[in-house]
Amino acid sequence: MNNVYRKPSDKYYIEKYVKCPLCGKLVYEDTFADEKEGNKLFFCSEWCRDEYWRRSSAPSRRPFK
Amino acid sequence: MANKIDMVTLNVVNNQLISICREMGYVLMRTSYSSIFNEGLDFTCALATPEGEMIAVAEFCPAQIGAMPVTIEACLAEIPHDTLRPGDVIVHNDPYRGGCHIPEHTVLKPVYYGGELFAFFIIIGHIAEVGGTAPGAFIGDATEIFQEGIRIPPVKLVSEGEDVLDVWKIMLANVRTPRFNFGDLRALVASLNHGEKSLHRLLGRYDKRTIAAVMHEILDYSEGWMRKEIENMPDGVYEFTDYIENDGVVPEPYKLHVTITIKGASMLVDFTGTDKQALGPINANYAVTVSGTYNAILHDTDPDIPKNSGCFRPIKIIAPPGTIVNVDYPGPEVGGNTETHPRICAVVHGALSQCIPDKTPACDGCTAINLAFGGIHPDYNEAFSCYHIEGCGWGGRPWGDGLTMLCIPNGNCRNSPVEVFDTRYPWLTLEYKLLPDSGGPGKYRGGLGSERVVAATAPITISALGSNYETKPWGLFGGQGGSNAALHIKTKGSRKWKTIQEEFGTVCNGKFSGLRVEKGDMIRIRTPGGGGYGNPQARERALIQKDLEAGFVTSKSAREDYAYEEDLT
Repeated sequence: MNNVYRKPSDKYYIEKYVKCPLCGKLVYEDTFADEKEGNKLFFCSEWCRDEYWRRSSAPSRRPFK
Repeated sequence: MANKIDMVTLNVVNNQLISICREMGYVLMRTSYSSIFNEGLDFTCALATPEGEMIAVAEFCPAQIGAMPVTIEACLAEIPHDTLRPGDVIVHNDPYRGGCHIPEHTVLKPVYYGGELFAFFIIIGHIAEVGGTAPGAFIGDATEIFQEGIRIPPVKLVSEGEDVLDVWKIMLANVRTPRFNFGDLRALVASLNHGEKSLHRLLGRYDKRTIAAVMHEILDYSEGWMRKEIENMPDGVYEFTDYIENDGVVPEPYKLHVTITIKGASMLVDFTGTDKQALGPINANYAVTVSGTYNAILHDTDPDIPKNSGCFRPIKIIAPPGTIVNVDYPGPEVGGNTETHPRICAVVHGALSQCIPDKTPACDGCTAINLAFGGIHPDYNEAFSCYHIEGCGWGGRPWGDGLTMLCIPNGNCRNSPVEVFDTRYPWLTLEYKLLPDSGGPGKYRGGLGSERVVAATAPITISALGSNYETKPWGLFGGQGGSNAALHIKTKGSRKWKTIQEEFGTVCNGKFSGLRVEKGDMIRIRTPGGGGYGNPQARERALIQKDLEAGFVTSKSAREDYAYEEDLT
């Protein structure tokens, strides 16, 4: 399990604020990571990961505007 | 392993934990320097498990209650348990790492007992001055976070009982009122210390395993109670949409949409369909959206449910990133906590009104009418910076009229008494009154808004961030909307009140920053009334007569809105 909470190794500043692509919660670890078209997605929970893919396959109800 | 606890012990100990949190609030009230602390009570004190679950909280500022678990998680992600020591205090205000907005400073203290980490005390408190482009933090036309003040990532403010002087120096060098900020930060630390001592006393009275068991069982108890409440709601999908009139930068409305799905004992609150994030500072972040949602649900369910992380477990919230309910870095967001939070509450109430109409209110004023100002006080020759809020009308409820001139539901803050306001800041209050007919007509009338007129007794720099200057708080089930907010200025020697837009050429009337008013200029602040609930013509005639006699409703409104002729006998 790797820490994805956006810190560089020296921990002096934040490189990127990583949010769950479904619910928007900050994600600190890659426990529920997945991949979409070569991009790594970091989910906060198994439920969010499953729901994200369920919605992605239903074009009428995408999670993003 | 924790003991199984009987119900009496559970309630007695839980109430003692809550009392400790309340006492911490009184310490803050009595020792802080700023009026937003000691008059406004814009803070919340809580106790959390070592894992970061909130167990007990004092009923001060609801905007901070629901955000606490998010904030604690962010703090502990950056300062892990194994780096904490007895006597440490962490400070944090970064809205991109779990904070609500820059003024809300979180302080967190680990409490050790018998050499082990036993709990955390946590306070979120509003520090009035945080640097940024104008005094008082509310930059109504900010376009990025950096204009809103200095961000403090989770860092130790106190390490093993000793001040981390470098952190204090950096924080106090970046604000206009270092003496006041020093006093408020000291009060926060003192309050944490009080909590720690009180918990140690309690641990001395009960054994450690009993308290630990209570802390875990009370979470399950609240969760079970909330699940029961949700189970009693009819299963279904309920949607609601509302708008924020503008963002202070672009004079166009932003849509806030929610879909609530009730299924069995769980609730999904989904903000998909909400507009993308604004250029101006009305954006909320995840912590604010979560907190606003919980706030509304706690209003619409049994008020006796113990408020802790357990009661939030059955509720899943989706706040899509990059929208006005989950701003992406580095968007501005100071108004998300005061303007969008109540609007989030409002849309959740609106959606739930379709399934529990006997529990949900009409729309409240939905704005804190934030007025931030600062300068040099001529009487004291010292910099001042004030965050001032005004009360609005609350929405009519299924069982009674809306509350009158009360800080909106996210704040629950008190207003500053005129005597304090005029003594501490170079204003002279000329009028302060309720506005007749401002409450939306209804079977249960909306609460009244207010009007305050003040004159500057020295040059003052003002900023504002408010809403409902163009839109009105909506009514429910035939109830009508409340009145608008308004902000006017009459410059010295002028006979005419003008809007801020007319006088200064700002984009919006209620959102701007860094405007200078001169000695003798007058400002008039009107706050919105709440929406009405139910058909006004179904209102009890005796209540209309009572409103007429109290001056809450005029004869014209009684006749036109309520079809009632005043009884002059």
